[in-house]
Amino acid sequence: MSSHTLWFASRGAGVVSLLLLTAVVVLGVAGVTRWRSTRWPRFVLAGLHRNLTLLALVVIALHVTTTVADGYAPISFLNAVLPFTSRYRPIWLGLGSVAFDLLLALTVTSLLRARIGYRTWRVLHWLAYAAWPIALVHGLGTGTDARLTWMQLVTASCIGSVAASILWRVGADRVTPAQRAAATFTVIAVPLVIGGWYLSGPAKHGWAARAGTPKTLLASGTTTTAGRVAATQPVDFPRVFTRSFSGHIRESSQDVNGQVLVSITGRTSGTPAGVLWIRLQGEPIDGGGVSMTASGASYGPPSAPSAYVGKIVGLEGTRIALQLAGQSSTVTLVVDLQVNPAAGTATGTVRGRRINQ
Amino acid sequence: MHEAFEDGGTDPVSDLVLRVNPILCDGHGLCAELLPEAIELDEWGYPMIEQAPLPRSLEPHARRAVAACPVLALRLERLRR
Amino acid sequence: MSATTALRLLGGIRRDGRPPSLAEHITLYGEAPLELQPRELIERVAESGLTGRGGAGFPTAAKLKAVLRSGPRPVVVANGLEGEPPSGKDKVLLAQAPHLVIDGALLAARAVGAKQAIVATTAATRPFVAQALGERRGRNAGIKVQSVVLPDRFVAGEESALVHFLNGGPALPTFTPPRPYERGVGGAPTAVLNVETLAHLALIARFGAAWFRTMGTRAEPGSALVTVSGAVREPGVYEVELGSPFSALLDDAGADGDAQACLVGGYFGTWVDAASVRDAAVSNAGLAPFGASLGARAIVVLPHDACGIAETARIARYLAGESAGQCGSCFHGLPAIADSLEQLVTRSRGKPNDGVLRHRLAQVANRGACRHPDGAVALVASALRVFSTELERHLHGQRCTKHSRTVVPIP
Repeated sequence: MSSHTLWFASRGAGVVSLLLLTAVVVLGVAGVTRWRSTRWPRFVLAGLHRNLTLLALVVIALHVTTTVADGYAPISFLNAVLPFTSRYRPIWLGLGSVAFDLLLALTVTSLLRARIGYRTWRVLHWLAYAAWPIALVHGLGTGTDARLTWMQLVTASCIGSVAASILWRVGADRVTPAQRAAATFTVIAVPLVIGGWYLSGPAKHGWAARAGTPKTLLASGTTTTAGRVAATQPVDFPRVFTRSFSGHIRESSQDVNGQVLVSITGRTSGTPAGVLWIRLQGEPIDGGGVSMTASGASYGPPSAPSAYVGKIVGLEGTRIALQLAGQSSTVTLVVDLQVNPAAGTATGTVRGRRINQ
Repeated sequence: MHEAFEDGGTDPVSDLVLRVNPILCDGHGLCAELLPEAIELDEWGYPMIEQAPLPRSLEPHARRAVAACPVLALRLERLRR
Repeated sequence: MSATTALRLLGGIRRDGRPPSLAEHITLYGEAPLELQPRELIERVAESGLTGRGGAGFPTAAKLKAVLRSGPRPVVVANGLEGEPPSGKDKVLLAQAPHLVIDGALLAARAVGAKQAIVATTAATRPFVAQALGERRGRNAGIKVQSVVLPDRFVAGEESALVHFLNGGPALPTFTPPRPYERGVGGAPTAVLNVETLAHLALIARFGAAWFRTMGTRAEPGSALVTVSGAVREPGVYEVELGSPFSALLDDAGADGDAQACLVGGYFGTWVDAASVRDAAVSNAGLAPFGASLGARAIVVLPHDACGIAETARIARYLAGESAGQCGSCFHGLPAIADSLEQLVTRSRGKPNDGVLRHRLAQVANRGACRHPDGAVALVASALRVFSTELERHLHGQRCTKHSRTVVPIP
């Protein structure tokens, strides 16, 4: 398991729980409109609403656990239920805790509905209208993928689905004009507010620092012009740097063509820390080593390990030269390795140079 | 409306009856989906409930229908003998 | 006055229509025996066989005993709302004999140990109650009596709706159980009694059960107020002996000799054809053979040149509009029934048929929280039965032989 698995899992679980919660809200809102079909009787839709919520709770638990276990950011289990207590982006992470607490409350009160009575339950269930957007904003405020296009599309679709379902519901009769107006206003205003905040906040360069990411996780000494919307991570490597490297080396067995795959993964020290991955494919030479036929490499800070991507341009014993390209600059690395084949570890130094295009 | 349940002799009758609170009832119709043997919907979507005590075999289905009602309008009551 | 009319409750009516003052009331009837022990009061009521005069006809003593058994600090409510448009007896009673009603409320309160009595009226009759209460300050045996005004809706007079309103909610029926006698105003056992019932109670307490039974039948003793309207020369409120012949009442009121039918029991009553009416007596037992009962004690006489189906359609539409709107089968079903009836009358939608109407009548009955839809259904069913000839004509698209003159009062 690579050191990124937990982090990827956390991000993935976060997105999946947003999708599940969106489906839950849509089902809950539309449920009132008495829509049914022969293949989707009302009790099935009601059951889905309930079961998807329970599933979402499991996925969120996974999201929280993987985030805490990953350990990259200083987040504990307690932070997940006590809002605004974490050292990492306290407000935006805290919103996630708020949403989670609300979701727990909604679930428990719904399971105990018969005991608390219908009217009490109904009033409490309105909290769902708060929980969902809070969860969404948490995702945008603290999520790694908040600026990626596909995440923007996913978020927009979720907002669109919920908005559409609300409009459909208030379009039915038995709704007073005042209620209809209030709902329409909310459906238009809230997405606009969220969108506006997103464009002036998470979408902009420097968000991580403004959002409360601890300094030790940010790059030092880099200045960025405010107002620029950058697609890469806000921190970058110095022009010239030398770092120590520590990681693993693995060699696969020969495939049908007699080729082996060697992969070297690990981290470089310093600020910003770096995550290095080198792949080497070729025929093994007697006495160790590989006659290279193909290669690939990537390097970047932990928040964006694929910031620079490229290949091996020089291979001499245990010295590897890499040429990598990023969004707006290129990086050349020279890696000197000491390898322990028995333990599968690799250590060494990395000398790098970054050139702006 | 409904004939009372036909007791084939193998399905004993319980002492439970279904009762709906017509003020709370909003015509969602989940009850009729889950217990068509005892509940039918009128032309406006509101339930018409069999008045006779339920056969034992329907008791779990009836409990499910009671739990499924979105507004908790349906209840199972024990007949007082 | 003819021999059929009795003058117990309406004996104090002055020529100028002004209600009697407290002094005049006491001169006429004597003081209310508020010193009687509760047990003795209930026994008198029980022996008298007094039944409710509001429409349900429940034995009054049984109701008082049920309240007594249900718990501490009961409340008495005098129901003077009389939501039925063709009925005017309670209004007349409150306007002409308010002290009798208040006496009855106080005696009922004594009987069940209540310290609080409420007289519920509409805005129209409140002034009479307020004035009478004003005259009686300090003479109510320590029982707090207040007058409360309710909105003028048909369902407001229903027992649970009345209690709902007094508890701070809307004047709409609630789901029962619990019934008011178990848990009513402020959660306390509440005796809701019609104002006429209380007026009779006030006289029974004074003059005894035996006196009460000198009129009426064994099962239905005493006198009762009945409102007569429609094709009559002298519409109004009559006090009659229970069990007396219906024909006598109609003659007193000057009903048309060629009237075709009577609506007996108000809008929740049933139609009875003229021939049957001649054989009926003014009592539940005397009306049962004809599928009718006293109900709200309002009679509307239908002249020969009015169409019973058309009149019923108007009533059905009114009742549909007066639905509390809480129960789906009622607020959907009653307008649908009214629609079907109107289509029969106006033949507005091609070939009319009564199948849908009959089906709906069966579907709507007994599915509401109160008896409003049931009353409407019973009325329409009786119309289809009694006016079957007219119904046939309407179904075959023939012109109504009646002029469709409107007779039944719709507010």
